[in-house]
Amino acid sequence: MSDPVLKCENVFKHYDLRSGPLEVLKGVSFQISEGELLAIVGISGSGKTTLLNLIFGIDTISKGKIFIDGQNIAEMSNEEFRLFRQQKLGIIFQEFFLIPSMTAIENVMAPLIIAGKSEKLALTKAYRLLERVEMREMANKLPSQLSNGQKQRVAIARAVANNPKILICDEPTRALDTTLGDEIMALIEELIQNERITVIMTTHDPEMARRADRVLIIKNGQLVEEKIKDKETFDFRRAKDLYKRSIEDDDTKEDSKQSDEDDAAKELKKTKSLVAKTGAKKDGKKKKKKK
Amino acid sequence: MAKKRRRKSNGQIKVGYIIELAFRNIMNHKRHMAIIVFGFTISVAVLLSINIWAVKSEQLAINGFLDEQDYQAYIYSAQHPEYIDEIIEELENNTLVEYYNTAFLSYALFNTENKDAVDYVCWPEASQNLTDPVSITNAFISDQTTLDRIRFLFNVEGNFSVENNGIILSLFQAEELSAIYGTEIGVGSVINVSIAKYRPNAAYGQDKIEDFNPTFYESYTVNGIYTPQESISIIQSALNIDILSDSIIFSLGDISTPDIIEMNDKNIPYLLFVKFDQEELTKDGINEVVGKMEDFEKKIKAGHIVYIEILDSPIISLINAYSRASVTIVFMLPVILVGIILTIFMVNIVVASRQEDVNLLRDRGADSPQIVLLFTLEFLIVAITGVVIGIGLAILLAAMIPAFSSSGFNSEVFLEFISLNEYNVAFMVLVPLGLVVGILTYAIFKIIWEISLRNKDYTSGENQRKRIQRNIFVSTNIALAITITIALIFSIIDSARVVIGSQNFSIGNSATSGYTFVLFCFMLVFASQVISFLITDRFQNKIKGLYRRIIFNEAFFLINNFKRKDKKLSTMTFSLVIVSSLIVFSLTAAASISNNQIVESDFKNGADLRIITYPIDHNFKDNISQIDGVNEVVSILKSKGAIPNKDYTVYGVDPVKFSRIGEWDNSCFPEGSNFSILTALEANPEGVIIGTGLSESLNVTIGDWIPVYNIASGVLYRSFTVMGIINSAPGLGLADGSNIEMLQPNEGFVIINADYMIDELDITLSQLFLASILPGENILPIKAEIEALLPNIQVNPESVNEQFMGNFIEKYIPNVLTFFWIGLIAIIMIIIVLLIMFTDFTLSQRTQEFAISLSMGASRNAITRLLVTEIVVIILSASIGGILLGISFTYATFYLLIPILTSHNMIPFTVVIPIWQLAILPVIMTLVSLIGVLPAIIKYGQEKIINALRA
Repeated sequence: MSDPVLKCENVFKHYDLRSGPLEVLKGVSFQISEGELLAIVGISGSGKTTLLNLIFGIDTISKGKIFIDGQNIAEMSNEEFRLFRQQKLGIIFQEFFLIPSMTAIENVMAPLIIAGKSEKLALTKAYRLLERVEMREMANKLPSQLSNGQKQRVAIARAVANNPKILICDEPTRALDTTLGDEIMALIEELIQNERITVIMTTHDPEMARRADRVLIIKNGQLVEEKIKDKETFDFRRAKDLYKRSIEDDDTKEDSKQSDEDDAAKELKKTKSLVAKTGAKKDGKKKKKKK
Repeated sequence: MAKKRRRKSNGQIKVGYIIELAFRNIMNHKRHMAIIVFGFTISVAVLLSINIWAVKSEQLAINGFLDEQDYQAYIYSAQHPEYIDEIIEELENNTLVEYYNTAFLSYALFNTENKDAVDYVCWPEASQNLTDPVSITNAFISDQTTLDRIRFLFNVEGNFSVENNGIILSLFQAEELSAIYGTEIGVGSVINVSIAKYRPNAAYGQDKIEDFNPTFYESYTVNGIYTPQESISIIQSALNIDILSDSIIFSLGDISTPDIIEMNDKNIPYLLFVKFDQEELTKDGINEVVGKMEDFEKKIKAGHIVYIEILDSPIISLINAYSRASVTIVFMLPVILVGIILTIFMVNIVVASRQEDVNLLRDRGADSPQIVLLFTLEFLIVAITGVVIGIGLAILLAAMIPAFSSSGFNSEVFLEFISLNEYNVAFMVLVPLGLVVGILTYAIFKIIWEISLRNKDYTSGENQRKRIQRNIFVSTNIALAITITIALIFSIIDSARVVIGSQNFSIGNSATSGYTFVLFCFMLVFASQVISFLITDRFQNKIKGLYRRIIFNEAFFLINNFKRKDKKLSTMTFSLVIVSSLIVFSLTAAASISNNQIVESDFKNGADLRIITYPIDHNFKDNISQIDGVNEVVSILKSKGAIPNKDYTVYGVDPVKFSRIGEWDNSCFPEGSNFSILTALEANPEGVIIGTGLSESLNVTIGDWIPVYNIASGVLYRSFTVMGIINSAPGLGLADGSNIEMLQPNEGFVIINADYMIDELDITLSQLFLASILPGENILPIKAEIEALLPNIQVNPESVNEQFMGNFIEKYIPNVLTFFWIGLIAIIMIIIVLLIMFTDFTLSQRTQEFAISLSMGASRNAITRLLVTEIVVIILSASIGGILLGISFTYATFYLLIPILTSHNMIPFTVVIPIWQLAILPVIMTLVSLIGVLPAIIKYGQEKIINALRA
């Protein structure tokens, strides 16, 4: 087995809330090799996105180590990690997070420009990438003029613009219907095949998870099961159950404006909300109880 | 239970709860709401303070002047003394009259002892035996009450009292008596005096002492020695300053009743000085004062052959000065505009940042009217708070304006203003109400708009919104711009007709100018939109090369930001353009006014040195010219004459010297005229130079002759040949119209040759001397030496007429520059708040965008650099655009504003561009703005990516 591109060692993450510390990840350890597609499956609030955020370095680890390409990211300075992320990591968010004031082509050019490429070079490469994701025709459209599937294609093109070693995908097909989801997954698989990119992805969808080389199931911040690429032995019944529970859980959260699963940070934000909002929330809770 | 209380049975939220919620929301958005309060406060405070100041200052000045003015009218009848009793009866029954005083104007004779009254020839004085002469002088016979009333019009050594066998002498008379008696006659000296009961006429052979029918008064103590101080007063209208300069003041109480009867019988002028009841005079408003005085005059004249003079010209001038000053309120319009812009921006920000609240209210069952009601209530509460604070601040500010006008803080004036309960209630209610209604209407419209959009599909709603918004915005702007342009064209034509060549501006002219300025300000808003469009669309996103040199690759993001309208950077540019142009206007206006005030002051002074003293022999000019550094001196002789039945001031000058010494300007002469008219006057001693207005009213031109009647020296009639026509003369003011400031209450002035005035009219006393100094000489030591020549002498006084009416103008009317500085400070305060809030808002809207860039590997430093560059580019380009627009705006408006800034258009106004101030303006604005917005940039720069992404 080749050296792991990514290695998590006993990773902990907790948030200090008013009500006390909230443990989100409790000693997660795993590793992933180059060119591998790893899916992390778990219900809402299980800690999937937090784990991705820690790997991507936009959130900080409470305890443990994450090695990327052999380097402990906690030991890097902010500037070192910024450059490291710029060169070695790409990310696709479930909300796409395209810059709304930039056209599709400009969104793809952005990481290239940030990485110091000339505008001309960035433009050429961005067109090539958009072509690859079949979005060349829509290059000059603003995100608001694109469908969700188109937005995600642009997001993929942007994520791989700097030829990252690892592509992090946070529920890349969640906002898409099945057909679009398949198309996006096909694109990701194509990237793995052609560019030897390592992909780590979270998903609810067992069909998507099925396409991964390996699946990690996370529950209450801990890895509870690992399935290697042995599609015959993969427990679909269990995965489907998980998926169903996730969907139900999401629906419940929607009622109280909780759209994400492991959002401890949102809890913090919540405590600062308006008095008016608080009043509304109180009533909302009552309503929920009544229900 | 609480839930029940807050909801109606149908599930809707109760109004009471909405009010409660409105207060809670205000407390939860303190910063935004505080800025809206600030916007209302500053707009209302600035606008009302000028109005309150104008109303109160006019009231205080008119009351103060009426109180201090010696009398408002005088009446006398030499030929028909029998009418006097009737008039006295009328005065006693007239509610307008507070009181009246009486006086006689007779002659006093000194050194009559041991002379044969029947044989001694004493009249005219030149015919006397000069080895033992009798001194004959004017005698003003009055009681102490009258003297106390007029005391302030004299410089006095000793006491201005005739009590206890006292007498008061003019300095001139004291010097003459000292020469006659061979001993110095001063305060405390004891002398004898004879008071004439008849005014003889030497031409009829009445030349002996007995012809004066004198009563001898022995052992009178000289209580005081005075020199009159020139002023516009009843006492100086009744008794020419020449009479007062050579006179004694004697007690009316010491004249026996038989003597009074005899004086009356023998037509000794019996004068009635009338003081009006101030409350009665002003109770129907300041503007009725002059009308009431004129009615009084008509009433007295009806049925009585008497001479009556009311002195209303100072009141008219005061009212004009204050009315003109009140028009300066238009200079505060830019502040109001900027204040309204700030408030509207904040309303937009509040509405935009409260989407979540709207959603929550909807979840709770609130319908659209209830949500609109909630927001309206919030804005109403905030607006009322702002207005109430604004009114309070306005009252304070109105008292501060005049209190700081003189050197330092004058607490007396401040308290006077605060304690005066005089307000234009209608203005104070309607203006804030209009402001509140206007902004509330806008806010309601904005809220309804936002709510209606949420009911639609987002994407289509967004596009539709943009399209409709753009269409409404553009069509409203075009319609308004067309309307204002049409109004402006008519207004400019109207104003230009008045301003070009006008010598005297009326209040109507000032109001027209003010109206034109208001229209220009509205046009400035549209022009700023055009300029900001050009800057954002044609400049900011076109200089890619420059950006690359400064911020390298990030130029890509910068250009993108400038290209996208939804970043609201164009709104920021617009507000900066308008504010910069207004700052430029204020700075340029201040520099220009300051410069023109110096030019005007020089013109009013008339020469390098304007020397004012008590009436003194015109040869005093020789004493001045002997001082080292003084080049030439001209004495200005002054008298009064009627042409043909209106009083004019008659000046006597050395024409050639005056042409050399005076600060002449081309505008002094009408077209086709020049200095040669002064040379012509020199050549023809019987010539006269008249004003354009007089020339037109009498239809006379050069070579024609005009009669001058009742010259103050007693000459009944002389005719003069018109040698020239002028508009104005340096040091003398405008040739037409009363020049109260220059101590001319008459219709205007004419200039005759000084030699003629001295030789033919026997007018030899002068109170005004103009002098030039040698090139390179320091004026200060020369000034000091001249001031040492006499006890009561002023050189280049700050105010030409500061001892009298000028005091009431200067006390309450600050220099017009004050208004510009107040406006400037208010605008700067607003723009700083606006910039900080706007940057904060736009940054908050872009937090997620920054987080995305960071997630792509952008550095925080690069984002900060990008933001700083963005702000610098916006501020620099907007301020440069604003400077150009401001200069154009200033040039376009300034000439039309002259009727507000001055009472005449005699000295051509020059626009002075303060180049250095304008050059550093963009730099200062950039620095101040950066300091202001830096905390926001740092705050957003430090935000965690994870939090920012979820924002």
